[in-house]
Amino acid sequence: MNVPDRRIPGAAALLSVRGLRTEIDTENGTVTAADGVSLDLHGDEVLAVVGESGCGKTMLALSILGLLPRRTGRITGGQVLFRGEDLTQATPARLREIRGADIAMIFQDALTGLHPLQRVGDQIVEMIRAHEPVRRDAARRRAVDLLDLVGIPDPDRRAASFPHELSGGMRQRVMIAMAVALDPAVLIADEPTTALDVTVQAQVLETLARISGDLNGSILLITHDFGVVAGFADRVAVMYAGRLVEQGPVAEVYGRPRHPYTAGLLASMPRIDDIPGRLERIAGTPPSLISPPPGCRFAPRCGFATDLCGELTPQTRLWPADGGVTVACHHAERVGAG
Amino acid sequence: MIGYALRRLAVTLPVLVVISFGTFWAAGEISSPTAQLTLNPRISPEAKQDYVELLGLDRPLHVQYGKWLGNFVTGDFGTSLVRNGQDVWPFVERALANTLLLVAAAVSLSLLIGLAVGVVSAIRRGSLWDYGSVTVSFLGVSIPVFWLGLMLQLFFGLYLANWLGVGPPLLPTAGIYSPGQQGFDLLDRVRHLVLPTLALSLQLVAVYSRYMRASMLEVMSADYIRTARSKGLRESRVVVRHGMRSALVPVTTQVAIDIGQLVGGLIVTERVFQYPGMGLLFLDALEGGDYTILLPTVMIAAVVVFALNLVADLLYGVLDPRVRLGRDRRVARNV
Repeated sequence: MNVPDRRIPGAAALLSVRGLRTEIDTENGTVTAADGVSLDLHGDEVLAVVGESGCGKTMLALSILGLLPRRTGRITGGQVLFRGEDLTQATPARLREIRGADIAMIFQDALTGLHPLQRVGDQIVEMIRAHEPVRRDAARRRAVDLLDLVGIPDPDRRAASFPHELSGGMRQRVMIAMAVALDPAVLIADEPTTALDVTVQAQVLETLARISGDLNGSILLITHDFGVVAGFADRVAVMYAGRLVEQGPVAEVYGRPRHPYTAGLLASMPRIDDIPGRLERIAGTPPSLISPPPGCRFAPRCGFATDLCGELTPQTRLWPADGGVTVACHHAERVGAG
Repeated sequence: MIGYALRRLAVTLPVLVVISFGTFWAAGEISSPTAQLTLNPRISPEAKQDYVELLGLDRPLHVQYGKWLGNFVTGDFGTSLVRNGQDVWPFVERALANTLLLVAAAVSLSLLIGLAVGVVSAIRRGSLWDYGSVTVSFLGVSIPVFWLGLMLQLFFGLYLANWLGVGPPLLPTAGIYSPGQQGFDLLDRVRHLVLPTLALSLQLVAVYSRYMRASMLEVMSADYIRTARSKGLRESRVVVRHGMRSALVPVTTQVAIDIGQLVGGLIVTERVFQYPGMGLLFLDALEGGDYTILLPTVMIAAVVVFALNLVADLLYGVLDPRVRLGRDRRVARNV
């Protein structure tokens, strides 16, 4: 596989995914959930990976920590470099050290993601004691402090609650408290607000933003919500059908999308100042990842597509040279020109 | 939970009354206490009539039943018709103790083996071990207890000793004490327990390991197991503290319910091994026409089965905090 080095010069990435290829066995065949994905997460930044359901963004997140479904998922190529160490080659013991302490994860649904039979305080205590030789009561005090930090009222009593006794928003806060317990360098948040009501979504995001400001870690935010990205992330990576199509600073990408898919997504977002009318939409559906079409995967749905797009997979390239945005499109110049 | 238990009992009691009446009626139909008197030419019809009146057999069935039920629930089991008028309770008490010991031994052994086999099968799904345990389980549920008991007796009581060229059988094949045994000898007692326990256990191991495998497979694909791994926990801790803890909830209640279904296997096992428990007492009473022993034996078995079902229900609430039984729900939410 031909993966160009796209490191931004002078900034060594904290977490660097290089040409990652992840396969998942399904009943209908083997899905290539991530196909040559490369991205860099730097210190103290929020990078959002955006894409629609099934584009492979969750599997990308799970690949980083080696948490793919055991029987059906595997990494078949590429590297995941954390502070220069390739996690795809790490021993299980080394991975355990890193999980939770250096790279922690927040999952989408806290109701199924938290253990239903364990008190929430104990779940946080377990996280702390898995990595630090502290006494149970000391860990417990820290757990209560963490619950307080994420805005759970009456944290001392709530620590003794079971997940089903908390509301959805509270559960997700517990999940956040657990993930930040050991002040990890990288926090991977996989659709942290998708399972919540809209009003609660905003509160939880606010909490996440506040915490990430307090702690000096980076966040890899997986989401399908462009609105969340705009208010929260420094940089954005747009994923389509297992590949990254565009990556760069949020303002740059939103202000001047270079990839037709990004442009289409942005055009399909309702805006508050719009005259009521029909929303734009991208025609067609994403391709099957079991046997994806050759060339550019967006070509069948793309207004800019030419014969070239159906034959040759576009290289990921920096365009224009000074924007800090990489794009995988033969016609980026035409798209970027508006 | 206490309120729930009481309400469950209230529902259970009428069922027990129906069972007891049915048993009472059937016992009277199949064993007539006066049959022997009729056969004996030296007993006059008058003397026979006196005896019938003494036993109250001339009264209507529901009156007889009411009197028996009153005595039964107050612990008065009466005297045996057949065993020279001895008190019934000591027979029942001894048999009950022996049976409980056998059941406890078989269930503990089966749980120990069955749960371990199930967990290993689940985490090594599709392995040689998994397929092997499936095969053995199918054998286990397919082999009838009486046949297995006989084979165990033949093997340990005869063949093994012959092949090894040693004199006495390695394990006793009947009873609970060696002939001539005086007083209590733990080793002797345990040796007598081995074969009946094995005979009863094979099926249980098969069933428990299947339960545990299925439950564990379901749990190990849950989101919270992935969360546990993402915390950097050791795999052993993920499997035991997170996986097994959840997987045991449905298995425990199923095991409690299943103990009631052991009754049939118990009767056969106790007969094959001449093990003096409730099953053997039941068969002896049935064949000897002794309804005074038959009735309490059946009734105690019924009560135990119902009690275990109740325990299973309550256990679910204890093991899984999400299950709050009955009216206690609101209270539990507020604490």
